[in-house]
Amino acid sequence: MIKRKSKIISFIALVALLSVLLFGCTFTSVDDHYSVQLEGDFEVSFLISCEKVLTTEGAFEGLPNTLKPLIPKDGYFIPKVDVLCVEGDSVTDLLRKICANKNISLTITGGNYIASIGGLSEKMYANNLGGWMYKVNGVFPNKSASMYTLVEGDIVEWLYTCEPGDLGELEW
Amino acid sequence: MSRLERYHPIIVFLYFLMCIITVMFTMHPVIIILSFVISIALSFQLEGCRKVGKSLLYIIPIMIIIALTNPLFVHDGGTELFFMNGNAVTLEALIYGVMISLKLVSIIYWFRAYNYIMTSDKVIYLFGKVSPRLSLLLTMSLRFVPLYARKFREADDASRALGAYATSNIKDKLMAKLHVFAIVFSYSIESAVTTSDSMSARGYGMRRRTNYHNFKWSMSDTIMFLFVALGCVTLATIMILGYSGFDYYPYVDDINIGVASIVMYVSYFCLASIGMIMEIKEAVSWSILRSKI
Amino acid sequence: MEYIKIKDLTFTYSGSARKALDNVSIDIEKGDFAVVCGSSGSGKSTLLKMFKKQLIPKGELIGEITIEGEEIKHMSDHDATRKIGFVMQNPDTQIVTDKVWHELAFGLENLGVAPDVIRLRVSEVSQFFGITTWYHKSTSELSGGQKQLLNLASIMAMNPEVLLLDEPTSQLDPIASIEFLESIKRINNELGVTIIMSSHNLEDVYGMSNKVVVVEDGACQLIGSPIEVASGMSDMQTHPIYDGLPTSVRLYHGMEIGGVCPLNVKEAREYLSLNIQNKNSILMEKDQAVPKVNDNVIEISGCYFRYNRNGHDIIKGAELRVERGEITAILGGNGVGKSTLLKVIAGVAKPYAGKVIIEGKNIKSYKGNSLYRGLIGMLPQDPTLLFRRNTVREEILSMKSNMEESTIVTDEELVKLLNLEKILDLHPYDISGGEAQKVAFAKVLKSNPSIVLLDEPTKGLDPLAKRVLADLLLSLKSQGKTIIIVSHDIEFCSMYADRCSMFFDGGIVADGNAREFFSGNSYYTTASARIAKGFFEGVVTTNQLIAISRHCL
Repeated sequence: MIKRKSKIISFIALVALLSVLLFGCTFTSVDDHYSVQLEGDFEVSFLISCEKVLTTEGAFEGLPNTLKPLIPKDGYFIPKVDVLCVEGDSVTDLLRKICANKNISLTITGGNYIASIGGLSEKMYANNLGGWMYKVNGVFPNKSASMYTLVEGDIVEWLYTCEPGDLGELEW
Repeated sequence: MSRLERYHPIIVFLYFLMCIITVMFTMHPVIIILSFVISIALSFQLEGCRKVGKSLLYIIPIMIIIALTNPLFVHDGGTELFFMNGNAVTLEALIYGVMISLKLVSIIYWFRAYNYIMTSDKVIYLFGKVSPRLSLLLTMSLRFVPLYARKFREADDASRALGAYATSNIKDKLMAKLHVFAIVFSYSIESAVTTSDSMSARGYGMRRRTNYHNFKWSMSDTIMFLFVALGCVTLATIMILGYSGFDYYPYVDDINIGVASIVMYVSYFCLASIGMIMEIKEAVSWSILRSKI
Repeated sequence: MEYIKIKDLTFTYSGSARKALDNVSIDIEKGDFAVVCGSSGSGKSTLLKMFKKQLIPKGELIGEITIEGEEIKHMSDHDATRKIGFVMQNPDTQIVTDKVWHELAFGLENLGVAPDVIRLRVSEVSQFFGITTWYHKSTSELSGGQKQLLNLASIMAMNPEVLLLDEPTSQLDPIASIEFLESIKRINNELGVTIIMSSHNLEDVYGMSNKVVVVEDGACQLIGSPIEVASGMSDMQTHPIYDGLPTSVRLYHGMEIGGVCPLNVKEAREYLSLNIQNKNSILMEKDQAVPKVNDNVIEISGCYFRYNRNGHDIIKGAELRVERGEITAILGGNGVGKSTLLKVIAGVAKPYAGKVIIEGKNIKSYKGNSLYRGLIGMLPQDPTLLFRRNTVREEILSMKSNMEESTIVTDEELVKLLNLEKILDLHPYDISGGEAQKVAFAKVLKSNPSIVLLDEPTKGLDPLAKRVLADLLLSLKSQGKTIIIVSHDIEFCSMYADRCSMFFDGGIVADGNAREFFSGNSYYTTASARIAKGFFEGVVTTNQLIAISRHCL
C-alpha cells in the first residue's frame, strides 16, 4: 500500500515538472513561423551556398538519398540578394529571418550554433566532416554568428565546408 | 522447457549474439520492426503471455517517452509539424524516435529471452571454455550472493529483536543498518575460512582443474549451427554491401525492395525466428505423437 | 597390521601453552566405525584434522599417523585428497558451488578427472544417496539435512578409503540427523569405508559404531568397543559427556544389576523386559502439576503470516497462549515455521491478519523502544549474528543497559553470572559455540527483558553446555521471567520445559504440560518414553526411567 502511494506521488510530480517545462516554451505553427516579413532600416547583401558539396569528390554521393534532390543545382540555397535588416541584428538573427521568409529549413542548436540549413546539416560529408561557416565582407570573423552585429553594406556569405581548409579559412 | 534451451550453450550464445548485433548496428526499419516483433513473440513463447504482457505495460510509457524525446532535440527533417522555441519539430524526427525506441525495446527483449535460456550452468560452461578458474569464480558468486543476502536478513531480524530499529530517529536506523552490514561482513570473512578449508580438503589448487558440464554436442546442434552460420554469412555480406543503411533525414527513404534487400529481410526473419520455429515444430510433433496414442 | 595407527600424537597450537593433543595412541582396523567423543575443547576436532594434510593447523606436531604404513605427512597430494575425506560441522559453509550437480563434481574437477569419468561417478553417487530428485536444484534451496548429505556425497564421489566427520549432525534437526547417520552406516557396511566420527550426541550413533574413543583434555581416556566403554563409564557419571551417552546405557548404569549393556532403544526394551518384576504397565505417580493460572503474558490469535505476496502462508490462523513465569517450549519439525512464530512474538515479523497481544496490549501499540526495553528479548539461532566488535568485553559494554531494576545491576555481575570472565578479551569469533551463545545472551539480558525468547538454543551444544544453559534458564525463571524456547531438541525440552506446544501446518496443534505432552505421544517423544512404552506410563525423562526401573526390580 505504501508502495502504491509513493508511485502515485512520483507520477504527479513528474506531470507537474513536465507542465512547468512546457509552459516555458513558445509554440508556433508552421505557417506562423514562415510568415516573417523582411523589414528594416538598412540593406545588407546575403547568400547561402553549398557549392563545395557539388565540387568536392564523393561529397554529393555520400549524401542521404532523400537529400540529394533538395540540393540546388547551382549550389545556392539563396543566391546573392539584398535584404533589409534591423539595427542591432546579428548575423544569426538575419539568417533566421531570411530562412523563415524564403521557406528554408534552419536548425540552430545551443542557441547559436548553425547545425543545418535547407536540410544540409553538419557532419554529412563522409559522416563526420562538414559544416556551415560564415564570411562577412570576405573574411571569416572569429566569433559566433550571434555575436556579430551587422552594419549597412555588409556582405554576408554562408558557406558549407566539406573538408578542412577547402574554403580557405585556414589561410591567414 | 522450450526447444531452444536444449541446444548446446555455444549455439544458443551464437544465435542470440547474431540477432542482437544485427539489430544494434542498423537503423533499417524493416529489420527493426522484424526484430521488435520476433523478440517479443519469443519472450511470449518462453515466459508466457501474462508475465511478458505485464512487462509490456510498463515498457510502453517508456517507449512513448523515448519516441517523443527525439523530435524535441533533433530538428532535422523536412516535414515540419510545428515550431518550438524557434526550432522545428518534424515528422521525420518523430519517426526516427519511434524507430529508436523499437530498437531499444527489442534489444531489451532479446536480452530477456537470452537470460531466460542461458541459465547459470550454461554461462559457467562458456566461461569454463575460456578458463576453468573463471567459471568457478562465477559459480561461487552465484552461490554466495543469495547466501549472504539471507544472512543479512537474519542478522537484521536479530538486531531488530534487540531493539536496534525501535527508534524514530532516521540517522539511528541507518546506523543500525550499517552495523548489520558490518556483522554480515565479519561473518562472511569467518565462514570463508571454513569454505576455503573445505575446498583445499577436496584438492583445490593441486593442479589444473577440469570443467565438468552436462552438455553434449548432438546432430541437431550441428544442423542449427549450419543454419545460423548460413544466415549470418548472408546477412553480413548484404549488410556490408550497404543495404542496411537507411536515411530518415531530410525525408524518410523508400524501403528498398530489390533482390538483395528482400534477401536481407528474409534472412533476418529466418535467423531471428529460428527459436520460435523450433518451438512450434516441437509442439506440432508432440500433438501428432499424442494423437497416435 | 593395523590399518590406521595413531602413535604418540602430540600437538600444540602455535602461540598456545597447553597441549591440544597429548600423547594419543589409537589403532583402527580397516572398515571400523569409530566414534570419538569428548566435550567442547577436548581435542577431538583437532585429532580429526590431523588426518588431513591440508587441514593441519599451525603448530608443533610430534608423533605420527600412518595409514597402511604410509605416514600422512609423506602422502602425495593426490592421495591425501582422494583417499581421506573430511566432512565438517556446518552444512552451509562447506558448499562452494551454486548447483547440486556442480558441487558433486567439485572434488573430481580439482583432481583433474576427465568430464566423462566425472559424469559416471556423479551419477553413481547421486543414485546411492538418493540425490537424483534434487540433482538440478540450487544449493541455496536445500534444507540443512540435504546440504550435509550433499557434502557427504561430494566427498564420496572421490572414492575415499577413510572418512572423517567432525560433529556432522550437530547443526541438523533430529530427523535429518538420523537419516545422515544411516547414510554413513551404509557407506561403512556396503563400501567398507573406515569411518572416524566425532560427536557429543551419542544416542543414535553409539549403537552403530564398533569402536568408541573418549577424549578429554587432549588425552585419550577410554578406547574400546561400545559395550566396553559403556562399562568403563559406569563410575564416571560426572564426566562432562556422560549425559551424551545413549539413554539405554545410562539406564543400564542406573539400574546397577549388570548383564549385557543395551546400546539402543530396542535392546533397552529387551533388557527391561528381562529384568523387571512387574511386567504390567505401572502408573507413574504424577507429581503435582502446577495448575494453570491463566495469567497470559502473551496471546496470539488468528495470525496469518507469509514472507512475500506470492508465497504461501507460513503461519495460518495460529493460536497460542503463554503463561507468565513459565518455560514454554514450541516444538516441531524442521523448517515448518516455528522460528517465524517466534519472530512474530518478538515483533520482528508482522502478520497480515490476526492479533498479537503482549502484557494485555496489542503489539502494534508499543511505540518506540518500549517493546525491547524491559519487555522482550530474543536470542537468535546463530548468536554470531550479533557480533561485530573485536572483543567480548566490547560487545557486552556496547549494549545499552536497562538493568537498574533487576537483580543483576552491573555488567560485572552479569559477566560473573554467565561465567564469561576468562573470555572477556578474546575475539567473539575465537570462542566456542556455547560461549558465543552466552555472550549473545549477555547482550540480550542487558535490556532486562521480562520475556525471553530463544530460537534453537541447544543447537550444536555439548551436554555440559546444555546443562549450563538449563541452569541459566531456571535461574531466570526464578526471577519471574517468562521463557519461550523454539526447539527440536526433545530431550532438553522434556527435562526443563513446563509447557510444550507442537507447531505443525502453520499453527499450534497440541498444547499441554510437558509431562502430559510427551508421555501422550508415540513418535514425537523422548528415548526414555519410547523405552518405557508398554512398561510404565508417564515416564518422560531419563531420571524418571531409572528411578522407576530401580523401583520395579
